[in-house]
Amino acid sequence: MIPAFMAACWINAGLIALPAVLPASYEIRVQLNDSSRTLAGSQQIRFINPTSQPLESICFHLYPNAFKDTSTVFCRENPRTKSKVASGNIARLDLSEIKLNGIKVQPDNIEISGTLLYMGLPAPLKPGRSIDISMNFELLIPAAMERFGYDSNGNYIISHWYPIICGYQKGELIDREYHSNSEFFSNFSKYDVTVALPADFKFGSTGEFEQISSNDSVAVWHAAADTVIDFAFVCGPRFTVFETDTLGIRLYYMLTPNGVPFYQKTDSITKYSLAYLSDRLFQYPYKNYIVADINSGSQGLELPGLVAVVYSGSGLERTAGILEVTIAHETAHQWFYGMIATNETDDPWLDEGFASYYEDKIIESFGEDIYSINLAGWKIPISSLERNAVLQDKASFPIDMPSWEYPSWGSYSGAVYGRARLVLESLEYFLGQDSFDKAMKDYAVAYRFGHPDSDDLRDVLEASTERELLDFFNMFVKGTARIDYSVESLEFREITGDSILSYLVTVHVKRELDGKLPQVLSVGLADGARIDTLWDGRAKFREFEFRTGSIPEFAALDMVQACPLDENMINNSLYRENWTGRIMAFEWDSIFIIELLASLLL
Amino acid sequence: MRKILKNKILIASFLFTFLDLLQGFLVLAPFFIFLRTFLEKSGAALKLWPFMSVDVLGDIVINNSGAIGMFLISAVVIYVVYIPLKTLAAGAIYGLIIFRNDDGRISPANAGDFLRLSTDVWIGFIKVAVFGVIVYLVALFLGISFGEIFGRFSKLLRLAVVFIFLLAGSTLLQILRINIISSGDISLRTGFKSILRIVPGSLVRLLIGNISVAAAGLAVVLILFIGLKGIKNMDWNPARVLVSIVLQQMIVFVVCLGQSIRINFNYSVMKRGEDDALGRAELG
Repeated sequence: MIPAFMAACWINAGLIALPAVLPASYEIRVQLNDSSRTLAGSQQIRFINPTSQPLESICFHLYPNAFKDTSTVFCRENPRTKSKVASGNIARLDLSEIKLNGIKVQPDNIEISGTLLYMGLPAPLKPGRSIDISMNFELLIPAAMERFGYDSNGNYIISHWYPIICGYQKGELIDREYHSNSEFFSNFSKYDVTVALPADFKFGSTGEFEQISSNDSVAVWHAAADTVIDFAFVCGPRFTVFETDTLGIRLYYMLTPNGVPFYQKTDSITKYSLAYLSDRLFQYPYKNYIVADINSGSQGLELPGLVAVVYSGSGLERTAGILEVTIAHETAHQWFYGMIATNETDDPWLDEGFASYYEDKIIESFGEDIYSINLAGWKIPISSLERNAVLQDKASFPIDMPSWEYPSWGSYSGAVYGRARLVLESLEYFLGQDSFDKAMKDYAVAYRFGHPDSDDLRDVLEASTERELLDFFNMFVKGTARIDYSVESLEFREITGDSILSYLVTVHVKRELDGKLPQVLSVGLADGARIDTLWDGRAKFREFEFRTGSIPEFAALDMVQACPLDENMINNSLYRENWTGRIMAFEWDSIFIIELLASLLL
Repeated sequence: MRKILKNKILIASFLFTFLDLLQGFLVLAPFFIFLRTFLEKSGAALKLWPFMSVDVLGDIVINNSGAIGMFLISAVVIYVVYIPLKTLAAGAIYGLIIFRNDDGRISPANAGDFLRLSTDVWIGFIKVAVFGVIVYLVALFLGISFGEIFGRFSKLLRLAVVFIFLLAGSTLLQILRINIISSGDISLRTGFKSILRIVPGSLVRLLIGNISVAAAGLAVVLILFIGLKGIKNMDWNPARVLVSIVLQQMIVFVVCLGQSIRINFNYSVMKRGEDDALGRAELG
């Protein structure tokens, strides 16, 4: 944890987060065998101890082995994946010829636990010292599931595919098993990758890439990526590649025949998202960015410099704005995962929650009426439906919890995607738009190429806004506090004895639930004036008195309804006037629907 | 005006509209009482026009799920109680459409006759209402299945196929009701027997007539709906609300008018089919 005042100084001095030395550099040489669906090759890694303690072992993730049989943690937690694996759609990552500094590692020095491989070192590796590791490996690729594989077009998405060194955060090894709800964490590294593919395959990857040789049957591609947390690629025979530029970034859209009609939509939302996030956070620093139309087993998938979006058969043309939303979300992940590389397994809200928040902001400002369902003129914003779904859950789980501790996908996604977005929007309400935007930018710049956690986020926000946020984080990030404020009564009486006619307006407000957030109480007057008062929102009940020159029309808390965590906005306001006419109009609408249905059955 | 009021089809359509309006009001009445206590003085009432906002709907449902459940149950109970009463009246309205004054058998315009006819056919109409659940489910299933095939060509065709199957189901139920009224026999089995005797020779006529009436009704409803949408796109004011209510009731009336015309048409086709069948029997 960084004390707030120090964080502020460090941010200003630009001292935080730029990794001086990358802990690992990978040289990978592989060949894809399209008929056997295997990828075989070798990798050499130069690993530098990034901690302040000597290391006695090095740990690797073997993510594909989560799908080698049905006994794995992943399969035990995910019946859908388990049934796919049981039906023979398996993946497997086999290693051989493992060497440390050129000397073969004895089997005794290797311990495999689930998807983790621990390699004992012959001697402790001192801080800042390096070691060379080499190995051969062969990957059996499954039909697309759980973020990698080949799809029905015969195209491949190859992600989390090689033995990856487990990351370190604040000097601690993050060696987490691959769970059904969890994603990934590793440190920034350098990659030099050569991939041999069938000659007719198109290729796109993390970093910069080019074809370096080809003959009738094989084409060899070379890719280089610096300061990225992972390396992934897509390839296949059924891609049409579109190239364009924005903000000095080369964009590649790798679209299948089903995706080609969506080129224009893809192009406009991708460029807009990159521009929006570059402006709000910091400039996208890499030269390339790829949007690939491929089924990775989920609607969208973020990888460094590359996002996979399901176009084919996903009903994109039928679902309101889902393409734009998915691209906006995955592009936001380039920052909140790719460059501000939070720990996705232990603090999933720091990437999914932020990506959901910025996805919403991008879509809101995109300027097109998308992401809403239109039922004969009744426009239903999907973000409102999401809010309702989240609030329905009554905050069963905190948003800052390790991914594997959520008992189901629904509880995980509800908290780390949905509720986290509402928490950030409520924080924006609490801090004010400008202050929040500045704080987010400070956070992004401070931890560009860093690995922050929730405490780091709070430290930067506090330093940037000069506001105390411990209570907010304890209630809504670490805790499960819920918010509902109401206006209980609105009364007034004429003040006698004054030379000018005046009134004493009394408003009673109430905090209905345990969550506490400052509220703006607005009192509207008959002469059109409005009095706004800030209430700290802490007491259970509070009485406000105002001396006014006109009778009150209404009293409202959070009048603009900027705090989406407030679970009941109906009781936020109290008007002197009855809205009987408006309610009657709605009642007639409701009767009409029943009437119409009944008349069709005569 | 007097001529219009003497038109049985129009009177029947007004009566059907009134029955449906009453149904909507009764089913929703408990919910409306609840809604008024919540929204009468809340700013959320400003978000009910042109449609209730999803946020308001969500806040009502999320924070009052118990009450909403209670209203759903009460709506179902009211519906179950109301439907037999509606069926009682519907039988007489069918009679009003079908019987001519010169039949001399019954005059549903007379209150006593109206009630007598209602009670005579009531059980038969309830049987048809229960059977109707199966008919509509089968029609929906077939419509969606065949709609999938035709849907490859156009989405409109898909909808049209579903619509035609539902219309066919509705026509079958109308014919069953007409048979109950005209024969006085409340047995569904007898109804099916006479349908099998009469309908095959009149199938094309029935199909074309019902589709024509439905299509014409749909066209008028669409025009009224566009008007309603136009009003709904404007800001709230009492006059616009009044216009929207009138348009809504006109839409329901047009649907009821279409139903009455179909009942009358189906009856005449059946009568003609029966005459044809009798003629064939005499010739045979």
